[in-house]
Amino acid sequence: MNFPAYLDRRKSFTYGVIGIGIVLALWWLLTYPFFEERVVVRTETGTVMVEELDEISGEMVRIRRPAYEEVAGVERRAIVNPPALDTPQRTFRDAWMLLTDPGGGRPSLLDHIFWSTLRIVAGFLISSLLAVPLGIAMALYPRLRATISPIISFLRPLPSIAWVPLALIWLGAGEAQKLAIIFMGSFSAALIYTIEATLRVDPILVRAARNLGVSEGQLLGKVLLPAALPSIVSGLKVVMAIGWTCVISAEIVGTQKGLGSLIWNSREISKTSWVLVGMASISAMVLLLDTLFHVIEKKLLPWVFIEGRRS
Amino acid sequence: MSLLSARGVTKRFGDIVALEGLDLEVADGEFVVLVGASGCGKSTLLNLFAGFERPSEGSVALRGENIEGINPRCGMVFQNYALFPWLTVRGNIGFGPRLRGVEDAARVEALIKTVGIEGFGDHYPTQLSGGMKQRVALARTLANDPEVLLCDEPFAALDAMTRTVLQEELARIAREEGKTVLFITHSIDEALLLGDRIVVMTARPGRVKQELANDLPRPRTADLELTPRYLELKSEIWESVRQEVIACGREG
Repeated sequence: MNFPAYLDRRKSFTYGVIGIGIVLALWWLLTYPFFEERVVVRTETGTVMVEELDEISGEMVRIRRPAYEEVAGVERRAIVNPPALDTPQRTFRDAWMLLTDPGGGRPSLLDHIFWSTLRIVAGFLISSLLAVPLGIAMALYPRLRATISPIISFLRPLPSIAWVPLALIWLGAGEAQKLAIIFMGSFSAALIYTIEATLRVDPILVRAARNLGVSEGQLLGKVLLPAALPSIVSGLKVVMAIGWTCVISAEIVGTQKGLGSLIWNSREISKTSWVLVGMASISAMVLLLDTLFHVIEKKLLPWVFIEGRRS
Repeated sequence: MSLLSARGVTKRFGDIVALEGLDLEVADGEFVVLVGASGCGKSTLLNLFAGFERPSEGSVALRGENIEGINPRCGMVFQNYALFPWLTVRGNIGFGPRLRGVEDAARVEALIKTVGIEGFGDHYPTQLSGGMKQRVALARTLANDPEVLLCDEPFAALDAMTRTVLQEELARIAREEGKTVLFITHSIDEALLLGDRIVVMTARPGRVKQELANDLPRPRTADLELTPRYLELKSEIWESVRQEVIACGREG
């Protein structure tokens, strides 16, 4: 047995397709109407005159009664039925409908994706533009670090959803509230990643640079920043992913646009297929932004991704 | 006047006395090797000359001038190479001159040749083997044109064969570039192969225990290790070092 064993790209891809295929096949099996269930449908067809014994007078009287027709029928049922789970065919059809024309003046899937992405990117930029400089300063100055760390320890464990009530009370239900939730949910993570990345810079690099003539003032730009950058950037990649969990909390209320609002609203009308489409869109967007980030990373940090590494 | 000198140097870290009353002179153009048990304060002495640390007592000086702060005139070569991973080989070598705005591409190319890494100028450090990294580190220090090379066990992390090759190259480069070298090691063979003078240090607190002029003919190669004079010097140094290693073990 080889350890650790890896497959080549083609095989990995093939097995990956098989994995996804299994999930789709299970979904199809669970929602396929294998079972037939006998049902009796009673339909009111009109009225008929009937003779009945009147209990009070003890005489036979003629009265009008509703008439029914009973039709025996067969209903087909699956193991899991709507609204718990729609069939894959139905879900894909609903996805297409959501993408092209959801009807009732509702925003389309692309609108939802656009708004969530816009909020995340804006929130991400605000929190990283503040967190990275502050984090570097905290790594460099232990007094500053000791002062701010307890505040961060207090804020960090709070899930983004915990900020929703305060954000609503203070900022109302507009975009400011959405950005504030994303900011509060991602800022402390960005800060901590930056501090740790900077503190992890090998002190021997600082010594070597000083020995080569780098002054105290040049140290940040010439050594610390380039040395810490790869870890800072990979931290920010995680922060971007955290942004997605925040935006779903932020869109619970006060908006009709955004993937978060799509899944919350679809749940209220028991439209499971749209909930699934919303969830799949979130995953797809996280993957897409991650890939985009990776491309930027490769451009920005060529030495980290260089091939042909020797011992 | 000697190029480097340490006079009555004591260095304490809290309760630990790393060096005590150490005296050492290094002449211009000399290759001095410091040998001693680990933890005897060899690296501390280099850090004092480089200005990373200040002596608790006594003084260290370069050409008679006290070393007060970090001092690029004493160029350091580290055991773990300390190359900047975000710069290519060329970028690393040209780092010091570029800081001072005197970058000289021809000089960088000449150094690439001197240390024998032709064709790797555009590689990043992660693409290089340990031996090649140390060649780059040496070139980077030489590019800064320091008056002294301070070598802190630069070959300790390399495999035996690479180490032998690099020892021979360092001896050649030091001679060609006319550099004064203060080299520390715990390998007696390395000391004998490289040093004009070998200084044995005591166990902590470090002092100079013994100095030997190494009269083995140059250029020295590994073949020399079989000659009687080599073995004689080696056993003399070993006897001296052995007592200190034992003393160290007793203390620790």
